[in-house]
Amino acid sequence: MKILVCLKQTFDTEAKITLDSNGKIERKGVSLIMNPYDEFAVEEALRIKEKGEGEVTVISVGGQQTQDALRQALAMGADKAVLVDPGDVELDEYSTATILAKVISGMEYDIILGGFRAIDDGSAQVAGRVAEILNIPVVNVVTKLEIENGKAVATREIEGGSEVVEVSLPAVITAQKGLNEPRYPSMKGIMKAKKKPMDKKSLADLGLDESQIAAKVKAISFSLPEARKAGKVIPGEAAEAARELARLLREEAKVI
Amino acid sequence: MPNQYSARCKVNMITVKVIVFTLLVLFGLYSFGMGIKERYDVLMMAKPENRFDEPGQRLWGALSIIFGQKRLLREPGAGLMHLLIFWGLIVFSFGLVQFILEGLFPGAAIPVIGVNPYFYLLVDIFGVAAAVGMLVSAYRRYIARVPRLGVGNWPEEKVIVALISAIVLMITSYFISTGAHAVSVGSDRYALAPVSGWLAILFNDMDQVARQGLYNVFWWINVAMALGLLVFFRYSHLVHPMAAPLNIYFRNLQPRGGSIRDLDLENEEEENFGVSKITDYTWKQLLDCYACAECGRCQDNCPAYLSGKPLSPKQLIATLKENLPHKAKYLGGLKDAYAATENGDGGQNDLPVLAGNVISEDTIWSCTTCYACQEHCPQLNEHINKIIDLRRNLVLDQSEFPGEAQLAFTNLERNFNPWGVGWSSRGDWATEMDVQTMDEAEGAEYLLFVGCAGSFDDRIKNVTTALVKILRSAGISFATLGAEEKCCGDSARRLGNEYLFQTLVQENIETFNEYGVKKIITACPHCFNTLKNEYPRFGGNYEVIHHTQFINRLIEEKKITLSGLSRPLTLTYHDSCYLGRYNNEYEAPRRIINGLPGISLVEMDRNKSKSFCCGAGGGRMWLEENIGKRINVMRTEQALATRPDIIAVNCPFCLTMIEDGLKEFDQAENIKVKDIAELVVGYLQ
Amino acid sequence: MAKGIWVFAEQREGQIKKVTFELLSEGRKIADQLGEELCAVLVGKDVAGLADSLGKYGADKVFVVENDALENYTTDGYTNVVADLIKQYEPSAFLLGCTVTGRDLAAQVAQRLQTGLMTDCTGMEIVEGQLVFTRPIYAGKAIVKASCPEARPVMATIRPNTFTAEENTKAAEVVKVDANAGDIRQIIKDIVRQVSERPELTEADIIVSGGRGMKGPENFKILEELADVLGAAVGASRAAVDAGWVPHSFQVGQTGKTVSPTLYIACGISGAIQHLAGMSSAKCIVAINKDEEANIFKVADYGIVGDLFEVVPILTEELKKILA
Repeated sequence: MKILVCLKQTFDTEAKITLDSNGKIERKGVSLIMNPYDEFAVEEALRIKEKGEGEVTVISVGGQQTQDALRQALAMGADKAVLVDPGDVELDEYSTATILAKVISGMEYDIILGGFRAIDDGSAQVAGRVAEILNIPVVNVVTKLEIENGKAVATREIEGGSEVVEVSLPAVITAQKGLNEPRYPSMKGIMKAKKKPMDKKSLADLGLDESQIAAKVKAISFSLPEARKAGKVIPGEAAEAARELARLLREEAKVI
Repeated sequence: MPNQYSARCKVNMITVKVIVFTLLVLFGLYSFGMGIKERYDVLMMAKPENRFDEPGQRLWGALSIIFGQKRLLREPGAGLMHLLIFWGLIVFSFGLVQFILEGLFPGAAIPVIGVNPYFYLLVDIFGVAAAVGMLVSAYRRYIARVPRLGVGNWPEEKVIVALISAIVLMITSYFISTGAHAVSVGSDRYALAPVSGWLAILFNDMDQVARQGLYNVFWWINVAMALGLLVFFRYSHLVHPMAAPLNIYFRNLQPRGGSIRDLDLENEEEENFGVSKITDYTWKQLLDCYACAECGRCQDNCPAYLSGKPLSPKQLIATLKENLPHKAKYLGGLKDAYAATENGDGGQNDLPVLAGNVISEDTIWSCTTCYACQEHCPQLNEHINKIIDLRRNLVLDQSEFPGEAQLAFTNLERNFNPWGVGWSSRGDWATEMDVQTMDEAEGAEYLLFVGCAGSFDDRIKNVTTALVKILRSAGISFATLGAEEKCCGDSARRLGNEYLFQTLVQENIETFNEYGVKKIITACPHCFNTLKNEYPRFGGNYEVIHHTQFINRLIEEKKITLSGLSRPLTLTYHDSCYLGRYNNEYEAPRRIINGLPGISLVEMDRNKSKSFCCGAGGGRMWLEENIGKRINVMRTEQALATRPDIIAVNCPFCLTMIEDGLKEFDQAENIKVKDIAELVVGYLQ
Repeated sequence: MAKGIWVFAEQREGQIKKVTFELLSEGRKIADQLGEELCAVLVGKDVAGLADSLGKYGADKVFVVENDALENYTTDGYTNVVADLIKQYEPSAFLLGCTVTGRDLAAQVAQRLQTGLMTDCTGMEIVEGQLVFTRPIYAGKAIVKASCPEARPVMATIRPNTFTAEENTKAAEVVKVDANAGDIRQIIKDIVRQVSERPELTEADIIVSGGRGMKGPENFKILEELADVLGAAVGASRAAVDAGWVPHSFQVGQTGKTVSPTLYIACGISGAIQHLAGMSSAKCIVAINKDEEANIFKVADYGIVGDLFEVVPILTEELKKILA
């Protein structure tokens, strides 16, 4: 079983977001982590491997610091890593998916896993695009996965419940929270990870030029939301306050 | 003729006796020697550790600990019993040598003392003392059934019964035999000896032959018991009398707070991290097992055990001892897994993994590293190191640990605090107070190491700001590291994540050195202990002061004056483990409290070195407490028994735990938990 | 030249999702400004009857694609028909609700059409003739405005509740389309409806949580009633779990579950750091507590200082009215 996992390095969930002098998101001084949803995917890949025979390859598109996230996956137990460093190019989901699909098309695979979304730009489309390019089926937001006889049986979240979907392999499966609890790399794993292969590629190595991966979506401007307003204590008697709260939740906060 | 015959007969008798005796002695010594060798072999299978430094200090300290018996006498009853046995047997053994010698060669005597009636007086007194001590021990064990002595394992109990009986029989047979002997030789040596002398009077009217027979029979019984003990030594697990003195000699000389073994994480050859099999422990850790007398003092003071968790420090040592690859299995009921031990390869490959297997994970995670067990262990055993080594195995090797610990680790890795609050907001508490960072305040004398709780927990931020006000009032030049500070690593290390610990330590030391930090004040005893006692091992040497020590100094140097009136308040003070037992600071906080107007200090039953953990140490702060009673609730109950208005603490974790405890008793509104700094700031001029 | 603002009319079991009406209402304005047609794409089995309602919210035209194979949403089936339709008519924009289905479909269609897709948007405007979308990123800690300048159609998924649904009197032209659902590789084996069962804590959009202030296990009933009205999960602080009032699986916080719902209602919770560590990323926090000094008010967006036993039942009644 050849298992591929596409993963992304993201900002830590608690990272403070600021803008740099060019009005873009400041990347300096931010703790970087493996996208938590991709961590579910890595864990699931390892579990599939541990049930039978298999090899897990983790793939990422990013700068050299992305190696940390790949190393973490190797320390968890993945066998090989591939990093495509596109250099200083603006990428959107279309570009990333194109690069990933290109790398993958040169590899053997039975199943491709990934997080259903990344916690940074949360766009939830790269994995689906990869499936589309590779012309294999995709099942998104999966909370349970079983592999048998060349088929994947996945339980996926739908509004108001869940559905069980079967697809033939190869397929792309994206992980939702609840799929598993990712392991913490052991020291042994960390030591071994240092020696595992990390294949670094450039766009040229893949035979891609910048025009082929030119972003479709262009960011126009970045801004920071207004600072969280100081909490509002709603005055009045219990009944009055409760009514006002219900109104505010609906009309001001728009959360219900 | 008859005389000649009887003389020759006597000579023959003596020869036979000497030969038989010699054979027995040889067998005894052989067994004893083999007992030593086999245990030595076991220790040599273990990992090395340097405990050979400072021989002078080791010897002198060992002698004073061993002969002074001070630790034992902390508990007067059990301590006295041990004192009787210990000194009793030592002095008695001189009498025993004289007695055996004379039995072999009539008339022989150790020069000077062998003919001195006072010698026999002493031997009698001490012999009786030893016998009484042994009987008291039997009484405690089998009649009073002191709970902590229970081993609950019958083969082992049989061994203990045998040992007690043998010693008592040895002493008794000495008395009977010397009593009979005294009449025969008509010597006045025994004139002062109370027991032998009294028996001599009793035997006075007895037939000469019977009396001689009595002497001989009991001489042999005595010899058999004495030599039997040597044989017993080889096969028994009770080698405490031999191992304890050695164990005390090889005791830890590091500061208590810096005695967790460092792991070499760079070593690529390393196959296991922490302790997987028993032979992964160092020889000293295994010697602890031999030294243990299973007295149970550790267990009696262990918050985990007392709150119904599966951990008993005593049982832990006993389990490890049972798992030593050693012949003692014949008597101790050991497992077959060690059969291979005798086949040359040491059987190491067959040794079981300890953590999660021989010793349950719940047991291993129960420890709060409060040091009560080690504080009270007469053998100076090192329980905590053993547990940390097992945790390391679970974390670094097996990757098996509670989910809450994983969260704490991830949070520490990414945001350098266990709650996972964004690291960039670490210094935010200081903005309102306008506290300078080292970056801004060049040449500040002290670094205020705020710690995670003091930086992020709103309740503890109040302690931090109180301390800042005190320092400012005293005109102290200080600064913080702002967002550059990282967790000191205490919890990570004690939860077994040595890798994370060392990473945090290195990063902090780098920052300290960048700013030329020399002196550090901290309001958290965990930070205090780690910075003071563990950082030097990684090249970070600073003068580290706990805030209670510093405040006390400020008061003594009259840099701050406290005044103000308050209605009379009763206060009880909770000693944190890491300031108290680990760093022996019991007085500074008390001096501060005693100087506060209107406050009267009432001590809890468990105070100072007997203080009871709040339940948060050893990284337990970050874990669920699902088994047994909650330790913080128990400690709060102990504090409530003093009927306090205030419970004073010196540690952010203790503060949190005891405040939680008060809520449990619905007392949170009547009784306040306050850090010493919060108390002091209210009286600041 | 591509023309037409298209909206995906998401339906499940014959019910049009509310977000569809919201998109049509806002799409109407955009279409008018650009002078283009507003069209809805309705896909399913026996759904033609729903077309009228789409007109009511502003659609000029409704493309109805009916096919037995499209009864339930499948990634392949819906992608095939929608992508074919778009290829045929070449609209300039295609908008979907940011729902599980919308998200799933949008990515596939966008890739098949080789176009850009902006997801989870909270705003849409026309700047210099281009549709510009506002997207919160980094869990709402930053906002980006983005457009898709060249590729067509411009695609976006929009969060529900972003726009207001406004009824319109127009009747829409219904265009029935014969479409081939093609090869559907996702085989649906089972659909499990959650009937009034509360969502999983970590996945819930709304959480109602109780702490020591609940005073006893029996009082969690009032939280459950509130949760049922909101379709929320019920959580608890460590104090309530330690007291044995609710099982550990309810616990939110450092040693419990980490949650990040849209709305977190904390009742009788003081807000110790171990609790905050598990829920402070909630988008909107409501605190109801007797103690005005309670820490929870420091992080709350809305607070009521008062007796939760009075406040919560009234809140439940009010919300029942609003959501009815």
